[in-house]
Amino acid sequence: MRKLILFLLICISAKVNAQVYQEMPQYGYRANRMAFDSTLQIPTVCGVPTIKSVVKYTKNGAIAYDSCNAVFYTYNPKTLTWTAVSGGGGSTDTTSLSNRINLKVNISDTSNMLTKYLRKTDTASLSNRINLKIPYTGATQDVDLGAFKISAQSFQVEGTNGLGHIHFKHQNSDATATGQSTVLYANSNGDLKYKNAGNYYSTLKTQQTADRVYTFQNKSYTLADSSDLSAKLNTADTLSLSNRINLKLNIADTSLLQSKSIQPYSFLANNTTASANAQALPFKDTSGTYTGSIAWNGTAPTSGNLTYRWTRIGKMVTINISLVYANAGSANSTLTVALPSDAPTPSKPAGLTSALNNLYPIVGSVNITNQSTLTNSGTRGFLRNNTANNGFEFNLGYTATTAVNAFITCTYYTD
Amino acid sequence: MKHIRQINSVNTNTYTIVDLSNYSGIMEDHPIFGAFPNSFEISEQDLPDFIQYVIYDITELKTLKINNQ
Repeated sequence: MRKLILFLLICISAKVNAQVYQEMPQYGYRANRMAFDSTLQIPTVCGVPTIKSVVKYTKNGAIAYDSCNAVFYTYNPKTLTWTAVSGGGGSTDTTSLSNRINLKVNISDTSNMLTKYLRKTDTASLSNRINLKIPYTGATQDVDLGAFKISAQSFQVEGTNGLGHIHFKHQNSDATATGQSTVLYANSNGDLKYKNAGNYYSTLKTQQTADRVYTFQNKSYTLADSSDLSAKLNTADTLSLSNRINLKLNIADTSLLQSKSIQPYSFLANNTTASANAQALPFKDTSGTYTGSIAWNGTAPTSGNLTYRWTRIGKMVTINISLVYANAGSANSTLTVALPSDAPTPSKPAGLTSALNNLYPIVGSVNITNQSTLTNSGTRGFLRNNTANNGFEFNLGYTATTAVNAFITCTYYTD
Repeated sequence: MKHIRQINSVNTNTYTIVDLSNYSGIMEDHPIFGAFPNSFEISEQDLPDFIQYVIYDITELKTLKINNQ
């Protein structure tokens, strides 16, 4: 029972308002760490405040003043963080409008500001960029278009002396002043000239006609027209010799080129009083075993090497007959040898057309040995018409001997 | 064809016969036999392709015959 009574008393004391709050009759109120006086004094700390109470108070906002750093803090129960309150109180704004704009705009980063308005990243100053954008007379610096090209309906280049030069650098590092570029320009005559890296000048010009003239500067010759192409061959010509010959020759003129092939048994000569193309004239040289008719008087030498040879040049024929025997003849004083059947037909001098008429003299000899010097058998003879006057023969007369060989040489003419 | 041949020319490349184109007598009586005894003979052998001739002058042959006697 006593416990029940005690319990009830505790409950009643918790529920019942035994006292009524009364306003403070004195001016001001003070509690730990805060006070209400003519001012509201709040908790003052040194550094960032911390909440030292139980957890439930962290769910409420709070303020504190950092007297060490003169910073007013507010507490955000949602984020559980203290935040220093910044900003000053109202004062007279002495900053100009432009300065305030500058504070809003990062004017030091002008290139980034203009980037979206430029076609390329450009680190040059604004004034330079403006200069580059606006053509004006008196430019003092080069314009680098990078990989971009200039497109225009016409293009004009004017130099300080009125002669515009276009420089083609051989590579980026080349300087035009040192000849490391090819320069193209027009001279005062309107001729197009160019200078190569070696400072050699060449002129390309046109005449009133459509012909073109190309002058090799520092050379002693000028190509005036196509005929000058025959002047000389370039020593650096790598064409084959046959190709160069073909270029020199009119290969379409095959008839002349075929002049190296001429008709059989002929040679080329000019048998006239004037210069003329060569004409084919007869030429033949032949030899072989003699198989014609041989007639000795006495007893004939036997077992022989019988050969002949003749050469025809034009109408002149030189023939040689060699009759060399192993067995000597006897009482030989006459030898008759028929003209070889393949020898050209002798031309008969006028008045010598009858049988046995001598036509041409011969040189002949009949010898008794093959080693002897000229013997008494040395003889004279003729090429003559034969007995039947239907052919020709050599006839030799000499002192009777024992012939072992005979030689006949004769030059005659044919028609 | 019967002909008079020079004996030492037989079986050589200069088979030699007497030119009888101007002789009309009996072949065996040809004066060349008297002028050159033992040098010629009568043959009826076929002639080869190449032949050599002996020509003569009757007067000379007769003179040679006399000299040989």
